[in-house]
Amino acid sequence: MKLAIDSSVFISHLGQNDEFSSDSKLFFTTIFEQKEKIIIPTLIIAETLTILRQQNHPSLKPIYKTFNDFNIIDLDSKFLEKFVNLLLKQHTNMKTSDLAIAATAKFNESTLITWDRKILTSAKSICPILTPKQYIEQTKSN
Amino acid sequence: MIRTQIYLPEEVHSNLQKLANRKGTTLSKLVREGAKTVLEKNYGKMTPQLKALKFLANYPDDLRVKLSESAVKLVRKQRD
Repeated sequence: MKLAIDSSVFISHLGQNDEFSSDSKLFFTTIFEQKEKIIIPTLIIAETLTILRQQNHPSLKPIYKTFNDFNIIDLDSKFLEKFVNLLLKQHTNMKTSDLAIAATAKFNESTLITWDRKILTSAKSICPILTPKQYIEQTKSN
Repeated sequence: MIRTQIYLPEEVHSNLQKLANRKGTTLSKLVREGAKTVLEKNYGKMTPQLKALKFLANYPDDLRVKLSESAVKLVRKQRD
């Protein structure tokens, strides 16, 4: 399975007091064991690093270097062309950033992994989508 | 495979070509072999992505930050 990981999962994992932090940690252990292929849109990297900076995270540079080792998907003119086609085909009330992330997952045949309740509902019609917990349960049952 | 263009010093190019002829292989194959060796030297048997996943899977607790209300809200409900 190819996975597109949302910023909510990274932030929850790199933080310590979120209700999902322990599940996020287990999620990263599981995808490491499963050797899953990961894609990360540039927007997610920018968003995650901005929020971590606002939380005074002590090690932004190693995290940024780590992000660079994944398959980074640029929001470039090729993406925009596909994005416009999607907009023309499908009506949606999603926020631009949510739609861009869901569209990136769709264009790269990936499952979007997020804790974001709103996107979990709204992106269902765009791409396959799971919470980290659902992903772990699905992996265990296979 | 991805096609890419690289510059090699003349002597390296000439020696690689001679080696390729002697081994009955191609210069491209030798360059690919060399690139693989460099990657293995730097990453071991793991791909960069797997190494990144290992880093995240073993992320130390003492480097995790206390999240503010707004960050927690973002995780649970929706992004900005």
